Amino acid sequence: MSLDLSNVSKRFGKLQAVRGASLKVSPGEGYAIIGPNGAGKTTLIKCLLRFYPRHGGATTFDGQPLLEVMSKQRVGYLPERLTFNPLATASDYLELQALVRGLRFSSLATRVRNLAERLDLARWLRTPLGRFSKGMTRKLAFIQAVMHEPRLLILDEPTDGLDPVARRTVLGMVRELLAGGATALMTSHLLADLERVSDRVGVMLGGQLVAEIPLAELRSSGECTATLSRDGAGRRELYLRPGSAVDLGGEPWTVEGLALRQRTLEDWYHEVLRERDAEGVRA
Amino acid sequence: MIRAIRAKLTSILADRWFLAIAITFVACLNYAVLLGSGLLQPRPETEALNQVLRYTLLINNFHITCQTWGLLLPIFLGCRILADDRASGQLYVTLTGNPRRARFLLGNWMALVAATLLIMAVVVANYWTLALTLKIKTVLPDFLVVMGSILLNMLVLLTITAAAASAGTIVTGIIAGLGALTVFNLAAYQSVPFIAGGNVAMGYATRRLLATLVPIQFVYAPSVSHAASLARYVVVPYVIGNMFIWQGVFIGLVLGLSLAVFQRRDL
Repeated sequence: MSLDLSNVSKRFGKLQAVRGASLKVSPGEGYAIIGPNGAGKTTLIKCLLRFYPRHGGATTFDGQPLLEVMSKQRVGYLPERLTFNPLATASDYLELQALVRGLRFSSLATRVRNLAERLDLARWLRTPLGRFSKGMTRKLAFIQAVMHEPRLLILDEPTDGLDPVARRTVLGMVRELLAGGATALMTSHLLADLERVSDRVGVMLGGQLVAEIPLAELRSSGECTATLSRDGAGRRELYLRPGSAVDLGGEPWTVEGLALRQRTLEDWYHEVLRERDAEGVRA
Repeated sequence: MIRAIRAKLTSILADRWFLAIAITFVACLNYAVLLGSGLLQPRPETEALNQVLRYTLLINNFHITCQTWGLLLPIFLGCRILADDRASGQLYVTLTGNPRRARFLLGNWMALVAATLLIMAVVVANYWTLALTLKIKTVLPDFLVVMGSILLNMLVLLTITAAAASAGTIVTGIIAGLGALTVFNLAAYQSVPFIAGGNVAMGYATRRLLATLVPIQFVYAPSVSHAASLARYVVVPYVIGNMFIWQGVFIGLVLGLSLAVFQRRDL
């Protein structure tokens, strides 16, 4: 059940917010879109979810139009901002969300309880939402997005405002859904979090997807600095990268230290920005 | 659907601005009534006249206050048909779970209608309390016409405002609502010239046209300054032709149009 975006475009008057964005996300894969503010990430998601019905291109999931997939309650969406009626309780809210989706809350109750317990929210389920902190609100928003075990998960800043423990739990839950065959499309400015949960990352600039990297490739593209010494020859530093050839002249050197530096998503992102800036492509 | 309406209704009732406007409205209603009927001192020799005067003042003051303050409430409600859901992000979550936009808009409109009915229930209870306290006998057909007309006026304004707000923004809704209210007041005062004090000629056709946009109700009331000729002014309230049906059809058309527009608009 793959997600396909083909040549998606959206124009607001003179502003071309998204131009010809195409991507394919396979089942079980997490795809993250990163980019500066105003690059078109949220607009692309809104095109995908038919909030902008008059957009160019096509969006399908499992070969079906997204609207049909949404009708079958197979999509979970976590918007960047989600606030609640302060008088309702978390339980009321989740029950209403189940009803809106045409599902029986009783069939989801066990899963909701489980999710709430893992996110340390179970004892707050009967509390009016007006008393929730920002982090608790975000946890509840995440629960509503995943409580029905969606096959397509769209997450906009999923870990924003969460404490380190909750962040780890949320990312773990996303990984579990992916392991179960779900497909996820995410955006966030917290690149370290995306690194932990995504399989591929694309950079959006000026409404275009300008670069893409599989995380596996990124992880294998760090560098290692080895500090070597030999009697009479002093010390020398050796920079090792995957694929680099090393010639030490056949002499035995003593390894005094190793410093491993993983190339991060942030490093790659800044490289892409620098390259595109040189080409004149901006957000 | 009922649960969704209830959820929307509780969020409306939790709104401080809505409560402030509603409470001010009810306070104005009582103040206007007390200033009219309540201050009249009955005298035994004019008991019959007093009864008529107090009754017409009561029902008339209710009508006028509802037309001024009361009709601001549906504008306030209607202009926010989508705004709160949009600002909170619930609009997007709901439409992801159930992408039938027409149903979403209709559900929100029905929640606003429910809030309007709630206001009217308070107004009716308020009227009966005052009528019983001031010992004023109410003629039920008059009362039903007046309250029915107020309710339908509110629903017409609510629908116009909500339609404009769902097609545009909260500001578009306010402009459309206030515009409709202006046309309404113009039409209402033209049709009841002895209350407004003016008597600008307006033909039946023009009134009918205005009434199609925003309805006119005739609720005749005697002028206090012409109390001597009271009898010939006291008539049973009535509405133009099938005005209630016209209003219902008008609401349906506006609602249908707004649903069609909402299907295709960017959110």
